[in-house]
Amino acid sequence: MEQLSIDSIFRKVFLELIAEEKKKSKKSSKKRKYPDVYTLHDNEIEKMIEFFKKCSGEETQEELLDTLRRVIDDFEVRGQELVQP
Amino acid sequence: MILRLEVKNWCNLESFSTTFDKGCNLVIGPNFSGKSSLLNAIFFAITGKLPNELEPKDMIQKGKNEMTVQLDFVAKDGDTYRIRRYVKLSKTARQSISTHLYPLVNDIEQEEIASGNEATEKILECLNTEPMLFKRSIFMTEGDVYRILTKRERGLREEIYKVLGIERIHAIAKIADKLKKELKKEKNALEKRLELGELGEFEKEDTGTIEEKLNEIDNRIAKIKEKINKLTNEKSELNEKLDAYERFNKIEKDLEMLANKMKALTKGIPGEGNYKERLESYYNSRKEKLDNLKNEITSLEADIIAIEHRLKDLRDDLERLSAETSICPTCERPLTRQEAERIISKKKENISKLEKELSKKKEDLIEKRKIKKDLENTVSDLSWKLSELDRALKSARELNEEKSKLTAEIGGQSKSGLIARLSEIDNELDDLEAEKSNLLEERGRLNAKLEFTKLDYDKIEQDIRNLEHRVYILELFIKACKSTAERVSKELIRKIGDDVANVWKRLHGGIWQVEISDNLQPILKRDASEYLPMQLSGAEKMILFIALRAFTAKYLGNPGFLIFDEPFEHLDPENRVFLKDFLLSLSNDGIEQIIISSCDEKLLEEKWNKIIELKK
Repeated sequence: MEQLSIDSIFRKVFLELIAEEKKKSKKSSKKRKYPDVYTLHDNEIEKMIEFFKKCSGEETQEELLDTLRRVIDDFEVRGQELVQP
Repeated sequence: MILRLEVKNWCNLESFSTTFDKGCNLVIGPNFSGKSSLLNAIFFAITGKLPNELEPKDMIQKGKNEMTVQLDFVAKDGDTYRIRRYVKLSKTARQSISTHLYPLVNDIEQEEIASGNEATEKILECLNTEPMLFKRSIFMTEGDVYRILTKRERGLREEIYKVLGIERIHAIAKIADKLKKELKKEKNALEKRLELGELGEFEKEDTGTIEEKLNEIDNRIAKIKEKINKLTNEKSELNEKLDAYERFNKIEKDLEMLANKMKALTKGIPGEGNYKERLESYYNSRKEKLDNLKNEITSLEADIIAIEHRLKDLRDDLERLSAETSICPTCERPLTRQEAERIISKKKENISKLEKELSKKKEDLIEKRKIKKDLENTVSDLSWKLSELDRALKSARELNEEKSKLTAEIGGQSKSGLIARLSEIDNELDDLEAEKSNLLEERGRLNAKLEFTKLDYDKIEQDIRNLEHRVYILELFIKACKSTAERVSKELIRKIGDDVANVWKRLHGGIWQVEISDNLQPILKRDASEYLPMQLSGAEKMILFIALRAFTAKYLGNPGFLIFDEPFEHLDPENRVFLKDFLLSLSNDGIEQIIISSCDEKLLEEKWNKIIELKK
């Protein structure tokens, strides 16, 4: 039976998008100045999916914004190597 | 799947428990027997809320202050759970809700695994659904079909967006976009700071050297400020002197005016000496003359009164002497006629003399009184002039004193000299201000240079990278939200449409298509004809709506059961059978249990997996 929840669809779409971006950056001839910036970590991906899942659609905009800000404030670039363009 | 429900003090169900079977469960009973209450209890047990606007406390039976709802269910993974919600009302009518979730093993309650909101989240997770979807696709309250299908385009679109959860995705994406913009702004500000340092406007220099230069500039600025202060003070003094000049000129004008006034006050006053002496002497002489005149008038008035008395006496005597027997007014002896006539003649002569004298004195009195009035006016006028002169003299004395002071203040400097010096000072001040301004600018530049020299480039670069990283994640997140919404609205709607078309085919035969238009209006198509929901009969609307709900549940958040309050309302026996068969066929789509309420006893004639009868 084909049955998916919105959360599952989102998860699938999000992961697909990340994979696609990764492929694109590998193929791209232009090297990015800070490649680590465009590398998402597993815990960050999971936190964003968790945030999506936890929004019931009944929160106020302020509540949603506060929650998202708290989630994203912890996200940091790991690895400091600079690739000269 | 729902296994068992137990309620206590819930609406009109004081103490009630029932089990549910796989397949179609019919909850039947007359109006007010508690059918909808029973279904609402299932909704409350699963979501912690009610499908309508009411609060849980509103469901407590009248006269009671607490209630319990307990539900046993099978999760999507096959495990069995029990959820128990307990609502208590305080004396001030405030509700407190406690929620507990337990696993069940062989119908025996195990240790609690979650409570409160966590328990609700866990239940929804176990059932693979979400609150909004549950409300919109799994659970149908009575009258839902008409409420939704009779909405106009926009209302219907919003409703379907809500059913599909797209509205929620849009809200999340909007918030993520807002935060992304905030972070970008923050990042741009940091980049600007870095750019300034990197553009080469400032070459890196030793902070000690910059600080030395800054000290030197500060010293120069301090000296300039000192000079400016000195010149400003001098300018202020010169301006004061110029003001003194102005005041001196004004005083001279005022003194001239006072002299003219004094001259006018003493105009025509005879005598010698100054204004005051002349005026005083003249005033005194007039005053003395007036006093004398007053005395003369008093004496004259006394004389007139005496003459009038005397005349009266003489006239009385004359009257007595005119009688036939007259008596001498002095010796009182009887007088002869001749003697009397002689005395009368003498008296008349005296009267005539006195009358002339009286007339003259009265004329004299009139004349003197006139002179007195003139003199009084003159004395009053002189008195006013004297006081005015005193005032003018006093003012003149004060002005002269001030004039002397101003003369000392000006100190012999010429007005043109003062103006020339002031102009010089202004030029000097302009030059100094320009120099100061240049130095301040230079100091600002050096300070900026110092700041950039001290700046932790690495730290800023790290912050920028972190912000860029967060912005990038948000961008992907927003893209994913949009793609999800698109996928849900396009693909799923198409799939739901195909499934509904099959149901329609079973209902009416032939080949049907169900398209969801751009404005999300479901359109039923057969051959060249189109049918909008508004054109359908009540029974068709109900079947279409239930099919839409059931297939929405099939594709989104299906917990394995559907609950419908009065779905057979207005359906004839043939359509009832059709709808029931359709609902039972959903077990192939993973919906193994249907719970339906109805007050139609004819339904009892049909075959049901479980019948729950309620009585009033």
